[in-house]
Amino acid sequence: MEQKFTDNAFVKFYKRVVAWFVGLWNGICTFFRKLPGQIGGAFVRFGRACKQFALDFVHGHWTVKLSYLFMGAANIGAGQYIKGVLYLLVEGAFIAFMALFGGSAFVGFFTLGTIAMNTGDAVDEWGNPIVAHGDNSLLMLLYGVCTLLVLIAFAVLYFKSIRSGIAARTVKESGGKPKNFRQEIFELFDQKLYKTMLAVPILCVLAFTVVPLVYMILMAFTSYDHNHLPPASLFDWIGFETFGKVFANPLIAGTFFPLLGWTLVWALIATSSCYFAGIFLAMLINRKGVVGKPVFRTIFVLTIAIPQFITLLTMSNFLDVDGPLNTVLMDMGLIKERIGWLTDVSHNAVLPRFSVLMVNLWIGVPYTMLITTGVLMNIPKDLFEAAKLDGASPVKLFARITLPYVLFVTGPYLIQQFIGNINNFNLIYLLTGGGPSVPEYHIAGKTDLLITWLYKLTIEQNDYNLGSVIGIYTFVACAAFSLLAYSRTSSVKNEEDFQ
Amino acid sequence: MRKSMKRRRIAGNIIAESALILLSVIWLIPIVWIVLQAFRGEAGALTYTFFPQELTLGNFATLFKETMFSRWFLNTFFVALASCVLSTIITLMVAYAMSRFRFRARKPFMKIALILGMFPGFMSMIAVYYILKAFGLDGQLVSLVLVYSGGAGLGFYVAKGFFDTVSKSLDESARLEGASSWQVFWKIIVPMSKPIIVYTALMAFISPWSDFIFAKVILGTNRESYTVAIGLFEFLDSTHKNTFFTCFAAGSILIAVPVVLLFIFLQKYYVEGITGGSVKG
Repeated sequence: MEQKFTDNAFVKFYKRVVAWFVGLWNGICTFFRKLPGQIGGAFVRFGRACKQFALDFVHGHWTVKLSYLFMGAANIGAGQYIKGVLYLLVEGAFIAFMALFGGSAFVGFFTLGTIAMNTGDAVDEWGNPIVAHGDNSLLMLLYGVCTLLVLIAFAVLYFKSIRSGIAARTVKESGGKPKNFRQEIFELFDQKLYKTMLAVPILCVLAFTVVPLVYMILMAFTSYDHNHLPPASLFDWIGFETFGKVFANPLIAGTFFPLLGWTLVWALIATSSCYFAGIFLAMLINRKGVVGKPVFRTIFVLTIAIPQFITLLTMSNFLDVDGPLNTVLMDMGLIKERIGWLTDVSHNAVLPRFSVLMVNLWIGVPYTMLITTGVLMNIPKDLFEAAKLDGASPVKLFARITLPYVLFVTGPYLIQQFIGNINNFNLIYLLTGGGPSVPEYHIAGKTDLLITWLYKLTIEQNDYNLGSVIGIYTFVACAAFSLLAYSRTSSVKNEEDFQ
Repeated sequence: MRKSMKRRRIAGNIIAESALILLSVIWLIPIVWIVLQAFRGEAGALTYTFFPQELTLGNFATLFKETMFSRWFLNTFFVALASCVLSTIITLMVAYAMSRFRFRARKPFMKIALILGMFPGFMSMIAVYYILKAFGLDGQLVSLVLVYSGGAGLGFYVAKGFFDTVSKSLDESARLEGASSWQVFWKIIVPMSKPIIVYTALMAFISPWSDFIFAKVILGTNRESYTVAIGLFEFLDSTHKNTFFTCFAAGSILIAVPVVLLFIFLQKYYVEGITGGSVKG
């Protein structure tokens, strides 16, 4: 406690920030130091599982042996008829699926199609063009991914069926009676309720998040760009070529690195400015003696409540060269010429960048205000009283008590905001559309974030592989940062403490 | 001494009060402007006057007569309502499973959920479109509901934080009386979780009114099933802006008013939802 008052408030805060980043760095180091051990451990575990798999076969009852070929045989042998038949049906369905559809889809995953669509050069013996639809690489890739997923799901079920068969057998041999189907269903609503509860959500996540993501990630390794557009032409696997292109191709590298820099600067300034301004606003409204608190609060909450695309499109027109802001400023005689708040390219487009940050402030401050209002009221009053008795100035009170307390509580929110800002597609797209565009960038403008560039590359330019690579790079940066940051905030660490 | 303290206090209050008034004005100007535009009588996209010269209700009439706004409004309402119900159920179930059960895949699942949440959403958009197309669902509202609530399984962190703070002894005493986990969840946990249910439902209900990029890709050119966000965005493209800018403003107000009212009434839950998860773990 005594040491606390030797440092200036800002020095302390600065030290804390440095310590946090040192901790982050240490976390990264530890992660990579542990990585080889973890990989090795996984191999050892895999080897053990294989050995167990073989031993179970050798020592197993004949029904268990049979269940290695016909899923569920051991369950039927041990009296679990319904479960065993269900397993057998799954196996039948899987075989039918692979024979009718999965097999060719699996092969297609590797070839990505061999027959290109006939574009009219080839003619039949009477000289008419042969209209033949070739392979569609895009669909083959998608079906391939789905088939891979089915294969994995089946493998998991297969091993589960063997395990469950052996378990049922063991119960039977020790004189007991394996659980019947009714009991197992009841279990699914009691001790194993989590399986029932997670089944549908996980299926949804697989269908609408995992499969699409895997699909898009795989595109980074193909030649799917504006020259290879299915169904007119095929694309193929090209490995890591596009990953290198981002660094090697001068035009693309010359766009990627400036945009990366701007994205990081943007995320840092946008997050911190909203955060501190929001705390400030909340303190202002909470100040003892200020009248009309609910009115002010409601005014600021308005900007949160209005759907964001409306506020953003409004702002984009509000700041337009012909927009009302210029009109009012001209009428007041403050400016002589209309200002391109969102379009001025001079001085490295500093004005549009500034405007974008300001609009973000306009939108973001009320969020922090709303969230920190409650937190501020929860700070124990005696902390302030004690510090005031010691003669602490308002600045010190803020830096030593208010800020640490609010930071502690809203830490995870802050991390989320930072990631959210890196991926803040709506704000940039609806406000400036990434503009002002400049010729030195490859189809990008000065306020483009990586995420909006990705959008332009894919939806507008059809360079799907490049877009996918940019997405992967952005993701890796975000994921590494926030996983480490999360694991360092106390609320995740002490999960069990509160129960 | 006392007097000067008091005087400083009053001076400080006056500064704070005037700063707040100034900020409120800055925050209100764009909103006031767009409301004025909705009632503007003069044609054209942007005029060189802040206040309209002529006020009219004609923009609202045009909106309903000449555009498909009412259709879009109903579409969005349907999507919002359906995905609100589905996502709330999904989120609560996942959160409860993560909070109350300990199983092997639990930690990995939580980490994976965190990582998946960090992928730029529309990186998967195109693939989602093809998957829906494979089932013949592209361009239909049902697919929007599926996509919005399909992601809900990953957004369980806030609700899990809430369940973590609900004492486990409640569950245990109910179990002693013979209730299964399923019954505990529906009869004890759900009735107690009003704040988190309202928060989840509110978030799920509001997002379809605002999201337009996902909806645009999935609905494509099927204008019949557009949501308000895509419809209004279309008013502002270069070919329509001159005719429809005031309609855009009118439509915006019609959407904003109910959503704003909903939000202002339920903001308590919003704050509890966001801070609750982090305050209590």
